[in-house]
Amino acid sequence: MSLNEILLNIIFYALALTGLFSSFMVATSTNMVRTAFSLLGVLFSFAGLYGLLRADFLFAAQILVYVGGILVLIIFAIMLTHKIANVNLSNESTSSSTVIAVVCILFAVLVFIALTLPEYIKINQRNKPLTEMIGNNLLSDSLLPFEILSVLLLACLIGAVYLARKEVKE
Amino acid sequence: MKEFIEHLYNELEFLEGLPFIIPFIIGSFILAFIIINFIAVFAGVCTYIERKVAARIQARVGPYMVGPHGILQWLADALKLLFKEDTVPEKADKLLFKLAPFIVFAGSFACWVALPLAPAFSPARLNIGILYIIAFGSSVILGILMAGWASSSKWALFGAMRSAAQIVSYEVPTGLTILAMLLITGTLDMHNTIAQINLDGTISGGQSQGLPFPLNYFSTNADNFSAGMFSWYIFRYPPFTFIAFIIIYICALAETNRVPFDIPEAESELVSGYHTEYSGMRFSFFFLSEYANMFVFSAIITTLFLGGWLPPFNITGSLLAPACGIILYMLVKGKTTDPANRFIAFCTGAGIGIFLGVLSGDKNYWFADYLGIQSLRFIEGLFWFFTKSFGLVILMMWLRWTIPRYRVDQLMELCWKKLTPLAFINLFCIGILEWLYK
Amino acid sequence: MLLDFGVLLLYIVIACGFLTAALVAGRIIRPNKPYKDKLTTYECGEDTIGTSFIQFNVRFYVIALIFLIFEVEIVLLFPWAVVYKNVGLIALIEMGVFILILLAGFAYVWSQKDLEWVKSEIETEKEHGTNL
Repeated sequence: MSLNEILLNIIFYALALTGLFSSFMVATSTNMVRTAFSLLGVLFSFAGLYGLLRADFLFAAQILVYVGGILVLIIFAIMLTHKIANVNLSNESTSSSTVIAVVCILFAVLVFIALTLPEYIKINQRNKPLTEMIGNNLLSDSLLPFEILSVLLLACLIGAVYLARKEVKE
Repeated sequence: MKEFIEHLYNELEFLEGLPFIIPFIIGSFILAFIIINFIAVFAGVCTYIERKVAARIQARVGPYMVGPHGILQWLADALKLLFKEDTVPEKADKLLFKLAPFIVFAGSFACWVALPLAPAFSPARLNIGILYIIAFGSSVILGILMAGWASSSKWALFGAMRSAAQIVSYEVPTGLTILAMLLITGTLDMHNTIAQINLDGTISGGQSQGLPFPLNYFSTNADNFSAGMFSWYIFRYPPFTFIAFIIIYICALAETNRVPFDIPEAESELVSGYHTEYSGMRFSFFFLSEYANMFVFSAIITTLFLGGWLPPFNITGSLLAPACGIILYMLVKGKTTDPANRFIAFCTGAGIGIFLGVLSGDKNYWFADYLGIQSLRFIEGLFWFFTKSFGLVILMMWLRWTIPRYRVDQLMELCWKKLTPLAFINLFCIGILEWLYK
Repeated sequence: MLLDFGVLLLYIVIACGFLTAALVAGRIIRPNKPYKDKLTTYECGEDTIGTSFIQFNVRFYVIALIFLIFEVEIVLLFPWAVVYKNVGLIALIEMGVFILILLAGFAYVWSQKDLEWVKSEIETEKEHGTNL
């Protein structure tokens, strides 16, 4: 193993461990706000893994949308709840046996996908920037799904705002 | 940076046996160390300049005791902060309270990685450059929210929530304006954005020749009329690129929580916003990253609009500008004692000098080329990049002491009801123009 | 490309290291004499009444929601903007449709007064969050 590969491995395992540890904190923390901030670690380490896979556009999009958008939304949602005064509110989780069963099934699915994946997808050796490829694809093959996506986003916007307003009125 | 180290690696013999990664890491480390110290000094000098600008505008003297004209005041402030006790409130969430400065500072420092500091030189060439910078810039919100919540103080929490809502809102017009500029540049790479501009008004690599009427005069007559600063993207599609510039500058003020958008830390309402509970060294890092962010935003605007490290005037202009400025300054000096009038006189003289330079038809822009020493371009480029960015930072300070603070509802209305629709219209217009004139 | 991402990682590590070094240096030379009054939450000299974690107004959430939709849209538009020069008219039309559909949503939100920060008194009374 060359020095580069050793370094890559160290970075990969560091990122993966950060992700695992943060997810563990998300699942077990009894403090709602801390849970949300643990999610920050998960999202950042995943972004790092995208970077390692040379998926540059995904890397930036992950941080921009998930860290800068969805996580902020989650924290705002927490600030909105009635029980925020009671900081040590625990997550109302389902019984642990159900959780373990679901997690096992998900894990099995992941292992299955990893094993059956064609070789050429596993290691991404491209060095070309991803953004232009995505752009060209959006304007040729994926034109229709892309337009449908805008309708989906429209539905999200109207639906979410409507629900938020309804919640307040009640 | 990578190219530079590669160059060293190939030339220096004692590096022969080493794998490339080792000198690369060491080189990057040294550069990062230089930049981080630059940020610290920059923030310090900025506080000094800010106080001096404020004093000037309010007809005071400002800091005057430490060093000649108080020029060492910032050093004294930094030392004071180092010696200050660093309290953590009893009710605070101690872990998150201590973690928040790390996220804010790392987020704003990481943005520097993709800045094109000089020709063929930036810490790393990320081919998603601009997208990456706005992504990491937005991660600062999380640090602010964390600080506000962990302080467990009403002021801090309100400040943090307001700050997050404000930054998040102003990211929409920022993103749309950057998109509009991307239609013109056609690349996310910050470095290529500038490198593809030719000083005669064309963009190399692409087919673009087109400034629309009447500014196409500068590009179509490039042979006998020097373009210089007119080749920058801000002059590409005149009214629309100007509007884009104004929108993104307003957004930069809002995203760095500067006056008139400093509602998150409005000292008359919220003491000092999300860092109310912070003191000593931890406070100083919030301060540091605020100034680092101001510079990063100015650097983005410089790159997208003001031609980054490209020199604005031809050599004749650059030489005549200070000469004419000084002559006019000398003429006025005896007649007025007001420094503002002298400054105006100097600027007018410089303007005349630049205009004469344009008229002279000189087509040399780089002193480095003129002298025949190509490597001087690095220093020249560095100089222009920092001068332009710093000019925008000074403008932010100037605005701070000129404009009163907005109310929260006015701020949100400005963002969602004025800037966002305007940015959409601007995007369409630039898109159509780019399709017509490319 | 991986090297460039490596530089980014290095910068984050160095930022954290610099902060730690500064904090440690401060810890060595600065005084540390905490007592109870010093560690109270700042409230202009008053004792804090109640908890600091109050319930916030829903408008923060609504703004964040609208922002999120637009953010996703902007991220999707980035690849388009990069290839715009090479594709031309089709790209212009396609994006025109894409943006117009989303602008319809924006117009809806606007017309429903979700963008207003300060709502009329009656509406404010119906909401039960703080108004600040």
